Amino acid sequence: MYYHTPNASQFVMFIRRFRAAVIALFILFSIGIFAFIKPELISSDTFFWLSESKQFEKTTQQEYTATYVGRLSIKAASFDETTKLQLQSIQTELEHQAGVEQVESLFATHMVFNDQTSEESAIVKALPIGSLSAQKMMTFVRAFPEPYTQFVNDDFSEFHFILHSQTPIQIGEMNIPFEHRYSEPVVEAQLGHYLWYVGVIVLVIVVMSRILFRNYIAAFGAISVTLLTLIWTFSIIYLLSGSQQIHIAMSLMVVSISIGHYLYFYYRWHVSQFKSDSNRALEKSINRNLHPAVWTLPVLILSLGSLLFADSKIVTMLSLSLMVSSAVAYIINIVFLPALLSFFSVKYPRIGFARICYWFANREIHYNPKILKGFMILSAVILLSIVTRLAISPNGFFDKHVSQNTITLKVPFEEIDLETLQKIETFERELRKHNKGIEKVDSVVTILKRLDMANKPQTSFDEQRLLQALFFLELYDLKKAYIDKDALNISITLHNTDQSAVIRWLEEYKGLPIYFTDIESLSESSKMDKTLLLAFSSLSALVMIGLIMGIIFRSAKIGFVGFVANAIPIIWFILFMMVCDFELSIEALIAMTISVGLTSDTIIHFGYKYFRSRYFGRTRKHALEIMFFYSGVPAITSAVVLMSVFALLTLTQLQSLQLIGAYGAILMFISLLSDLFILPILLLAVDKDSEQGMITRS
Amino acid sequence: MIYSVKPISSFLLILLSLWCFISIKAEGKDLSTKKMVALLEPIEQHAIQYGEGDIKVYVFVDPKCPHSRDFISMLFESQKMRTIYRYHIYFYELKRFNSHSLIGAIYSAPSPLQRMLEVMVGKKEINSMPNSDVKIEEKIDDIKRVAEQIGVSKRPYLIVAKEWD
Repeated sequence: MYYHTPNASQFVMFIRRFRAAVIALFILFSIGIFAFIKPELISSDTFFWLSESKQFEKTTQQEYTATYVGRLSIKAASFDETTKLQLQSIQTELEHQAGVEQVESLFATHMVFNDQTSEESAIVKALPIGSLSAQKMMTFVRAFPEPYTQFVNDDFSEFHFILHSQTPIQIGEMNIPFEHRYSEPVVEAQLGHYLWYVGVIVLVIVVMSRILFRNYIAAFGAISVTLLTLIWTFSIIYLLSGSQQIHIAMSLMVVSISIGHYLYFYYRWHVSQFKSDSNRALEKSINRNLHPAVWTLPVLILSLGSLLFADSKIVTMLSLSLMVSSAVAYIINIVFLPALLSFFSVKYPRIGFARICYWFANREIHYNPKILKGFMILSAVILLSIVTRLAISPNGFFDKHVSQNTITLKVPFEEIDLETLQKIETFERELRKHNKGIEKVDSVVTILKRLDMANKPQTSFDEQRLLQALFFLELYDLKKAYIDKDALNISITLHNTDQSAVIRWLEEYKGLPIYFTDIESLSESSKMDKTLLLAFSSLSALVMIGLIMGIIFRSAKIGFVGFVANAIPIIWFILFMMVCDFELSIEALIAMTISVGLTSDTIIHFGYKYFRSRYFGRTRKHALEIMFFYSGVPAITSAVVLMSVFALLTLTQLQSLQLIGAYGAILMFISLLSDLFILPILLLAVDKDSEQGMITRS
Repeated sequence: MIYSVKPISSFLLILLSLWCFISIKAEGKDLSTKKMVALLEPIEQHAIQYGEGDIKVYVFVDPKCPHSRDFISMLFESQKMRTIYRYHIYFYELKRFNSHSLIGAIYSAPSPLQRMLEVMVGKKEINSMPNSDVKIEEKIDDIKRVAEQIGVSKRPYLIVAKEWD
């Protein structure tokens, strides 16, 4: 219980005596297991999601290859002969990039026509549109805009190139003499991304160490503990799951948990040297944190444990990262850290910033219960509306809005006949009927109809006209984009719509055997499968945390505080996402899971400190001051450090990392506000006993 | 006895006649692929064969028509199109080109295919005297008859047969 103070002097003495051996053992063991497991960093977010995508499995079983689809938009001040030639050379350069399978653009399209000089010919002609002069191109496209709208705007000032490639294309390496924008959602991480990521963490830790603790010991300790936690965590995960793959989100979770745990231990050692020597400070660091730190383990394990049984390797790996890192960080902080810190002592143990704690305590002791009640009712109403919306329309909650995107599909076929074309036409009609924002559906039907219509037929489309259109398709080499050996290609251009709704509709469509072939849709469909699972697990984790805290503190009221304090940041974060019209993506849910892990730690430390102080006879105000001083400062510090790390991650080029970074930073900020302004008041609210401490009463 | 026809009945009668007329006309102009191929098969021996593909394409051309010449040139230049398709080329004169004698000259050449390519791709001018060979005239007439049955109005005029044909 929180009033027990474990006797750690023997243990600390032992560690001090064998400190060199302990450090050497940890380092050598870590090097050994690191060399043994050879962790494999997943260079692309996509591989992570594709590895268990059911749609991807279906596509590969059919022996279809999935491709990356990127969109290069180029702005040109005017369109003249020079611009035309420059854009044509960009087309050629793009086509020759390694791994590029196809580049769709205005310059890859054909002008399909029947020679207007005579009506006596049945020959359809298809001229590459780029062979026309710039002026004629504009005239023709403006006269017949429909096939070209996705490639050029009305005034010929913006051109779009849609790239289909086997590997992500590095557009930055090309010389494009125009203002341009490349939107490829999936980018493979380079070494530079990892170095940036590591550099950001190290920089923020060093800055924190200098500003707050005025030394480098804190930074050195944090980096050492984090590094060891990472190695041990991934080794244990490898032993448990057999997977060597490490996604960057997993490492973010481990870093967050590790720094969170570390700061409680280091801070206590640091400030204790104000009155005691470094040995006694080491003892205090252990015996004051041993209980709350160990309590965080069952809270995390039981609350997120259900995720281990989810039918998803990804979700299992993410939850394992949180649980294992929490246990590993605990061991490292009570064995390795004291051994390391025993070599140092602190010159400036005073933390000037800690004075703010007294301000918080003074303000919050006189909280207005009516405002607290109002806030709680408001939060409950928001929670209720979220749960209702989740129950009524679970999928609608996780919309993925896209401004412009392309979904590519393959449809197996045996023969291109009228029946096949009819099925594709029905598919297109149904797709447009049931989904908003379908800008264009491009398939073999589109080109065959264009070839057929060039002859201005008077009768309805029949078998002979289909055979003739297929003949011209072959004659002008237009087949490649639309027909493979045994599959028809369909590309769907979306404009300002919810991509996930379209993907869901396509997954459920029974009129045609559909196979997704663009990597973004494939990984998106995999994420969609996991999103709902992670959302329900996060909600159930909140309830579990409340239950376990109630058991630990043997009080239903504290259990309720545990639930509420954890739920409030999540509730307000979801409200923020809804108000700003951001989709509740898998990245947001990963950020939420990290936040749940950290907030539950903070609640336990706050609760432990507050009720321990109350037990030993401190007044409510004094208990609040002690709580803020010993638990508030490390909580604020770790929140600020992690917020900075997460915020800086938004500057990377990896989209999922950007999102986790942005959502994580926002969520941690909301959690920090909740920890500072709501949690202490909740603790005061449930501590109604008397102004005097419990021990005095008894 | 005087038969009186009511206005509604006369209207229906006119509609019926119109439908019959359209149907008969359509029969001649808009035949199914199978029917057209059935009409063409008896005159396959009159065709100049070009290409080795599995899919038959029946083509009506006029040797003087520039579009027909473009088309034959495209086939000449495209090995791929000759590998996929097998062309049965029929000469069917467009009156304004007055190419009857030239057609006869091509048919009477030792290698009509070679001569056709020389004329239509190589633009070779050849002396085309009025034809006196009855067999060639019969050939031209047979082609004309089938072309009329099918409703060939354009040159080149394509009929693509399905692979099973």
